Amino acid sequence: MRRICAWGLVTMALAAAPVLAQPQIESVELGFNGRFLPGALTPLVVTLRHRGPAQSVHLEVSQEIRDFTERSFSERLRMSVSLAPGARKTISLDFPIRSVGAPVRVALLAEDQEITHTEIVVRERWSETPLILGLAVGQMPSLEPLAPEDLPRRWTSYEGVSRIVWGRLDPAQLSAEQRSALLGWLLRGGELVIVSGENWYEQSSAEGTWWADLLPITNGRVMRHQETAWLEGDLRAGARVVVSAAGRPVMWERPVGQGRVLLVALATLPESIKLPERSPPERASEGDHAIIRALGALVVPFPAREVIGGLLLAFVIGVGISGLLATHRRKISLGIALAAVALSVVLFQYQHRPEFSNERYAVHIGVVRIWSDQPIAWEQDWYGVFFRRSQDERFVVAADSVRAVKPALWAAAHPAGEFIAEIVSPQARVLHFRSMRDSVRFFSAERMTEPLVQFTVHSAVTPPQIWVYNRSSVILQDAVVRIGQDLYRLGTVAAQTELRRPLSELSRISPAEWLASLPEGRRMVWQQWGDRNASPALIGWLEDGSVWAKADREARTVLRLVTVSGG
Amino acid sequence: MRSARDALAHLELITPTTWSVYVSYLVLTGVPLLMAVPSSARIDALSEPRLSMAPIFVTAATVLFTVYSLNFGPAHAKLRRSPQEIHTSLLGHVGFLMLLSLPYWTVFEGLSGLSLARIVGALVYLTLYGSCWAVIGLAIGLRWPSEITQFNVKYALLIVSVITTFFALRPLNPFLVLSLLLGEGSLREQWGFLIVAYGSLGAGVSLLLRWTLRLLNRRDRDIIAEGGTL
Repeated sequence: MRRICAWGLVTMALAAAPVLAQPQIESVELGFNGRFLPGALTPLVVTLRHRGPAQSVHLEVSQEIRDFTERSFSERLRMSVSLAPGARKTISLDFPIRSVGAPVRVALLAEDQEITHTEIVVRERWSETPLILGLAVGQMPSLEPLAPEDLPRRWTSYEGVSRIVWGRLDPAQLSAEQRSALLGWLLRGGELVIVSGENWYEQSSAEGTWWADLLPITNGRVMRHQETAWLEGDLRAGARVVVSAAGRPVMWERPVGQGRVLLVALATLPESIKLPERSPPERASEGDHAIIRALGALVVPFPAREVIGGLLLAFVIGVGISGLLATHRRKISLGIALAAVALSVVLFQYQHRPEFSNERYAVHIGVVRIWSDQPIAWEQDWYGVFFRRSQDERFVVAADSVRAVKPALWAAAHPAGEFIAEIVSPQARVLHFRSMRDSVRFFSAERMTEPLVQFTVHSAVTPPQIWVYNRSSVILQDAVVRIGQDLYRLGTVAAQTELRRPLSELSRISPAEWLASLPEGRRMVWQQWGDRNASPALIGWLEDGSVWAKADREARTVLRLVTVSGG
Repeated sequence: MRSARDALAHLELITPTTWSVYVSYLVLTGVPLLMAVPSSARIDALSEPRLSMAPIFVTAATVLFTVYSLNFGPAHAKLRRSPQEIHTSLLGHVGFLMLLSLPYWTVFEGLSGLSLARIVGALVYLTLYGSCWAVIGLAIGLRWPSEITQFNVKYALLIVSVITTFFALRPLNPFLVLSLLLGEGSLREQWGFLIVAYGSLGAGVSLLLRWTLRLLNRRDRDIIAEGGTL
């Protein structure tokens, strides 16, 4: 009996050995303290443990969403992970949780075979409104307290966050990656609220200028008024006082890109003072609609119906007439057969002419927002593609985040299917999916990059000088400079070239004239994303394919607006 | 060899009867095909779904090709010619009908974006399938001289065969095979199915030709025995 038990244990151990040698998912942390905003990119931290020999696996995060017709749509995010023997590895990525009804699935794959998986139920963790994070501030309702080391290292992780309240915390505690992510989030529309007062001593100890550059004031100093520590300072250009009390500023505001920094002069925000509301930020769905409209307006060159119809009709009439002649000429069937073959050859060659031979017809629209006083630029791009053939597609995208846009009308008519976004590097994704014949697909991508164009107006000299440096690898087309309400034509700036011109040499053009001179596609992009108030500003067109690598046999229209604000 | 050359020399592909078959086939399949040709306009994949005419062309071409091929059989059963001449003429008519529709399939290739290999595969299958039914039609014509009986038997057989092959002997169902060949899916895992489909049709045509050869020889013997001439 004892021997049987021993053999049983040995057998069990042998059976369990291969399983234990495989990598395991130790834990998965999701969102900020488990909270997330549905539809937004949500940070996921996955910890893996591996006891076996060195192995390369794929980590895959997915969520299968079913609509009311039970059609499923699955978006998979995949990345390659190399595991050393005995390794414990933590991987951080951002995944869009689209539904709160379906679990998020995290799986490990080896050669497309699943090793292990875990499912996270997200039904009870979601937030109806964008999240507000608190750093070194007391407990406040609807605020998620966060330790500085837990602040994201990628701006994409902040997508579900609308505001960060910064308390008694030294900004120097943030790593370079965290600073960059925070700045990216601000440029994209985030709101940083700094409660200073007594906290100022910690807040102002940051080395370097990154923190000071964000603040609405310079020469900050803490004064005491009625036993309360009160921050005072000199207003920075572009900043303003938004709330005052007893003749003293209580709150300053400084726009940073599309976002803003609010500096509160006190350590706690008095209950009587409400944070100033902002106009709702531009929704990404507007861009989604724009790409759908742009692709819908694209003319796809098909072989002419009239030519094909005419040739076939002539053929049928010919066969009809030949029947009447057949009784007199026996070999007419041979002639008809030759005519059928010849017509087939003609039709084949006509339909395979180069102008009809593209497999994809795509529209790429985008906007590159550059702020002269910021070290990074924000690029938003949308890509819509019409597939003439059904095949396995592989798109290389240079972006921080890519997502499938699923327009409601189109989705109702066509199943969206599945697509896999593979992270090949922090700023590169490869999309894998199967295209259907005569179908369309839409994607949106975003990235933060170094500014491609630099622009300055030297007003100190007479006449004022314009300086533009196009650092990109393509021509900056049809550039205009706006100063006040006036527009000046600058023309094209070659790639990797700088241009210096006195303003007096540039021809002036009224905004209405300029708008009327734009081609239809560019006008649509300008009306969608153009900033009509920024001055001085440079407006131009950088119509390159650097974000979406162009595939073979693809006809593509690129409409990419670049704006540089505040020269 | 010589008899085959003779059979080809006497081949008459266009007769008053078959001419109307060819023209009606071209007209009936041409209408959905022309409606399926897209205009050089905006991308309509974004618009409301509407009836696609390309599958209707394929369905009409398959059904009519089978029916017309089947009808060639009884028409050839009436001919007083040698069995080889009858077989050559019968298969020649099926082939000629397919040849006439070649421009249509070329247009379909362009508008569907399918590879040429798939289209050729579908046409070969359809020709074999039509040939099979043409020879069955010949057997029906030889067995039942009454046209009413021929009509009843051939359509009953065709309908039963198509319905049955949806459930059993699936490689012999033209709708299943053509939807596979002209569909979106990969053929990589379907080679076995396709080989069975082509093989069974080829074997079917061969066996039916042998069988009808015997029937034709018997008929010729009976005619001679009754004092008639061929």
